[in-house]
Amino acid sequence: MKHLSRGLACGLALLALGGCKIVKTEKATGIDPDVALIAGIVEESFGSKLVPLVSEQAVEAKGVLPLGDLGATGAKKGAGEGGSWTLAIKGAGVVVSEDRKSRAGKVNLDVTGDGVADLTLQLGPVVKGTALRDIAPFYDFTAFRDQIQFAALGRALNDRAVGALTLPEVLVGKTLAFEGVFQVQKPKDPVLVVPLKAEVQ
Amino acid sequence: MNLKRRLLLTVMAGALALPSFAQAADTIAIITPSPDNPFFKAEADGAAAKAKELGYEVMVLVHDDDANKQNELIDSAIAAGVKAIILDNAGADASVAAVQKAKDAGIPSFLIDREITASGVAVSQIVSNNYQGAQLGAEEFVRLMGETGEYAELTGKESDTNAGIRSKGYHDVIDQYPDMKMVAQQTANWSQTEGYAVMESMLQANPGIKGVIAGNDTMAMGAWAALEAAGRTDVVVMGFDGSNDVRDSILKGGIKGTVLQPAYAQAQMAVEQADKFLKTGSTGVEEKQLMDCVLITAENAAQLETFALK
Repeated sequence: MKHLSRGLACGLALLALGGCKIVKTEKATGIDPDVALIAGIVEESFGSKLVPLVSEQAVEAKGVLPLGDLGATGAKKGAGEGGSWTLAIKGAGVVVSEDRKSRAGKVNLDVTGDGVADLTLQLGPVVKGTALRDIAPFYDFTAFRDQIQFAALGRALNDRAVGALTLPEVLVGKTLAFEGVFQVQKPKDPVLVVPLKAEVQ
Repeated sequence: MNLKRRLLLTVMAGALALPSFAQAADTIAIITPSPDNPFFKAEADGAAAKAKELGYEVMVLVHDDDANKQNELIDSAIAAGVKAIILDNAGADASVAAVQKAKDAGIPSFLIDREITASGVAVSQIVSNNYQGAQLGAEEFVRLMGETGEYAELTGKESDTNAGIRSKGYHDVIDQYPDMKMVAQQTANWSQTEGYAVMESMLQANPGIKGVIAGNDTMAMGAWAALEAAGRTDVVVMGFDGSNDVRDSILKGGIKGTVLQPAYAQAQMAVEQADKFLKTGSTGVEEKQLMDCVLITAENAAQLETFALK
């Protein structure tokens, strides 16, 4: 039943974006036309489609960490044998360590209560991966000119997500509630979550 | 009764045998750049093996990255009446018309490795996730460089989207480290000999280079040979593709790492999709598909064989 409604939602989302066509514009202004195009797609979809999709699909972190059988988690599988698994996740955890000085800022959370970090929230500004882009069926690679344009969308979604977070300077010892998406190729890979929500409880 | 049965069996056997006499096996054309680069050879081999397994004849052609030659090969494939074309194309813009021509002749194309700048022309475009792979390579490169120092970049052929996307992936990571300084950036057109020559002149102009990040393995091999000749085996070299040559270099402590593109599996997937399309009229998947890459270092290099992890 849940499966059916998810399929239906995906179908509707696809239909909705079907009306949004990628048009190649001329480089007359000297401004990269992709920048405006990508910004438009993010503006149109981020709050109204992506955030609700992640909220709807997110599974409890406690229930899936540490990762075992990825197929059993409901994660979305990429093409081919080595394709990444993308999964929306939510929960709350205690910050056991943090690195906020690095350009790739992050906090490590314990969600299982054993004092050991189970996942990392990426706080940016440098964010690894394209999990936010790849979780959503309405961001369809076929609609993009090439990988460069599609990669730019991944980066723009990451920037938008971490740019909206407001967190105190020191987080160690605090409990954070979060919701986000991560991507791994195998169960042993580190769980690097791109957060859409992260709040001190 | 007995006679009647025997007659019936004979007639049935005749009827069964007839179709295979009436038509030769369907042919799939496999068109790639030069197999001098083992990556393209692995693709052609992977596609041919799968096609034969599925009962097709194969017609293997090489366009040598020449769009005009590719155009002639597509004409030959159309004239030969092939049922489908598996293509690693000779230029993202230049190949659109050639693939369209095949489509107009009723022959579906299944692209591997490289994209074209239009959708709706080919049936499938299965490409490696070059951005993801380049980021993996760049992260390892930055780590090996200790996040600091002068480095050079060898970029691929400009007409190939993969050259641009890999460079973008590298820089989206490396440029975040203020102490990493790119002192030279030049194309070596995916070529080993050009990689050697470009590296030689880069070294002369920039003797302080600590690292070289290359857009593919053949250029990395060329660069490594030039560095060895200059007695600079201290330089960190990263490639991209996952070739057996670079694997052997990694295992000997030469080149430090590369990024595996699943070339063999990708070509096989394209043939499977072609077969499904020919039989059912649909592949059942989106046209453009990304296949993730895997970082190869001394830790897992031994498991690498012909663009696949054992």
